[in-house]
Amino acid sequence: MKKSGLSMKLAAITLVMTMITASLVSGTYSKYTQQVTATDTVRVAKFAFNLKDTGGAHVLTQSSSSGAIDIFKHTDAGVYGSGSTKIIAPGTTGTLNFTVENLSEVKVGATFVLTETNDSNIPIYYTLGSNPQRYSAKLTGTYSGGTYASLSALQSAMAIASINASDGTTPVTNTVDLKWTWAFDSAGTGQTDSADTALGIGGTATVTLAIQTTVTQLDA
Amino acid sequence: MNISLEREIRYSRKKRRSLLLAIIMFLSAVTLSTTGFLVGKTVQGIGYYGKLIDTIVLTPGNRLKPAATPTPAVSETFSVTGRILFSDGTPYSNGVVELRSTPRYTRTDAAGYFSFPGVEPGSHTINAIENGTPIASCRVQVEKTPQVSEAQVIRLDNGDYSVKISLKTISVQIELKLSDNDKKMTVTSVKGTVSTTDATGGQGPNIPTGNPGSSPAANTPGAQNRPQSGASPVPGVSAPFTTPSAVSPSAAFPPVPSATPSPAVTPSATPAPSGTPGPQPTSEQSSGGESQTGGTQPSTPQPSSSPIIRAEDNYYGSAKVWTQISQVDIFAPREDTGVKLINGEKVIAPGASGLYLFRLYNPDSSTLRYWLKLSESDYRLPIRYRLLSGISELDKSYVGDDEWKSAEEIEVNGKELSSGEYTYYTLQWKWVSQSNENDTELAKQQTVNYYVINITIDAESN
Repeated sequence: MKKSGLSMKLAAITLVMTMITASLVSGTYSKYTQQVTATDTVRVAKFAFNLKDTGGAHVLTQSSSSGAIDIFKHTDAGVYGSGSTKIIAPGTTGTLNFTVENLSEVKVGATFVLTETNDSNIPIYYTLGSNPQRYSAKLTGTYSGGTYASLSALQSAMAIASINASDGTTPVTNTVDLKWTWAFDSAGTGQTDSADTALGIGGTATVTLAIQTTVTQLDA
Repeated sequence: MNISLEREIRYSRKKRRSLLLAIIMFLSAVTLSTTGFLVGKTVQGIGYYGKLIDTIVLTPGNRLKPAATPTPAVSETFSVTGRILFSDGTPYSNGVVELRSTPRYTRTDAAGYFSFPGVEPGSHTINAIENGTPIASCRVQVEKTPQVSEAQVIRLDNGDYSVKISLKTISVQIELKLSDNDKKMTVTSVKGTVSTTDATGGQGPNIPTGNPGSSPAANTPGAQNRPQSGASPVPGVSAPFTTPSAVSPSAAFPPVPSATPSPAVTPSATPAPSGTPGPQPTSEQSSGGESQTGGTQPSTPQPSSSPIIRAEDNYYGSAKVWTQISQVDIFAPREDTGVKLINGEKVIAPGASGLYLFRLYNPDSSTLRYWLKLSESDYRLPIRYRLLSGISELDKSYVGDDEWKSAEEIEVNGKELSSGEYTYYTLQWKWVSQSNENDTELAKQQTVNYYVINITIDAESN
């Protein structure tokens, strides 16, 4: 009986202590809280471009690793053959209107690396637009009005410093007019009539020009 | 046998005692829940329901806290807007301007305009800052007095300026000229804009709306040079510069009298007209704490909340108050950030960087504790952040360290903010390129994805 009374007392004390503690605890935890959030949303500026040859006969996109374009065209005077076979002769000339279409939402620049595969030394030279400066991988020395420059110099001259950003839909374009010519005026070093004749007799010499284009974002 | 019976009795007593104890514990649990509930109800003396462990979320649109103190009849604070020009008349454009009392910062826009909301009377120094260093300063003593109907400025012998403004002035427009020879800025003119409300209230205050491009701005001197977009992409452009329709019709920017000792101030001959209802206050202006027209009730009362913390933009001077979820310009579309606005969407590219200035204010009478964290959308971009406590151009007080961090790594934990105290933060962000290939892949975007950044402030009253 005595033990029971003690238990009751203990229970009562526990009850009182619990109530006091609970009151204090509830008072401590009951607070005003508030949450505010500032949020902002952006999307990444689109980066897209097309490379087109004359008239857009061939279109390469930013996803293309490589593709054929018409540098030497059948429509150029003196270019014969059909399909991928293009036959040129001394004095033949033609123009590639090489267009970079910027569809990016950022300003871009374009650089070019020209690689001419021309084991038989076909005396090809290039000019840009109406500029008489000649560039060649095979021809050196002087010609009437200038001195041959290298393809490396041509690359620098071709580089497009800046093409404005597009709205993502309407492209902003920049076109490089690259003119090629089989030299036949004996100007400079690397071309002679006898060499041209030998190339013609053989009929197997080929020249390939590869234009590697890198389009780079200019601004953020 | 006796022993067995005695054991049984003892067992029975023990069982009864346990039962009794269980009942008592149950009763105590019920009682403490009730007590806790009741105690919670009177926490901080405000009549809201509480529970044993309670969370009361304050949501906009509900008047959760009855006005404990009567609204003051006259607002103490006012906005300061102005323009800084070089001596040849060219604007101090896109420059940092500091108003040093409680230090606060903004940038001028292309035309040299700037704005500071919620300025208190007293002594202020206006600094034009370049590369963190003041290039020119000007000290201004601002006093609210019933003797002036709008604003009056006097150049004191010591080169400071004494500006007296009406009790009802809600905005002070000031024009400053940067000197070529010394590090001084001179005040060339000051103009005050007064609320048309009398001290007893009842008439809607003529507070400019939050849209900087709203029509009243067109009547403001120099407004033709200001952007008309509500988004206000140019820093330093803000609503307070707009002149409400009922502004006292004095000449804009009256000239500053030549250096003379402070003469007796005489009331203006052109009292401010009254009675013209003005535009409705914006949320930021009616959200308490730093109201520019305290004491006047909006002509159409809006449901309001009584936040325990106020967070707001400050970088553009527009002082956009955050609500539960607010769209803000963390990625501000500007030339220097590299963020563009294309067809209404913010567009970001590798190399972009910028900063977002915001401040927190405790309008409550007691200290509060707050937590700040950043969170991103599932779609991630290589954007890294740094959080500065203060203003980036001037302070190098990084939260944590100066390493660029992912959003999740940026946080402030349980920092205290005293009653009436402001704290400024600058969130710096930049696109950290991992490789050109990665960036290009992100930008090829076969599907359009949106990157979202959130700054969340959790606050709790002490």
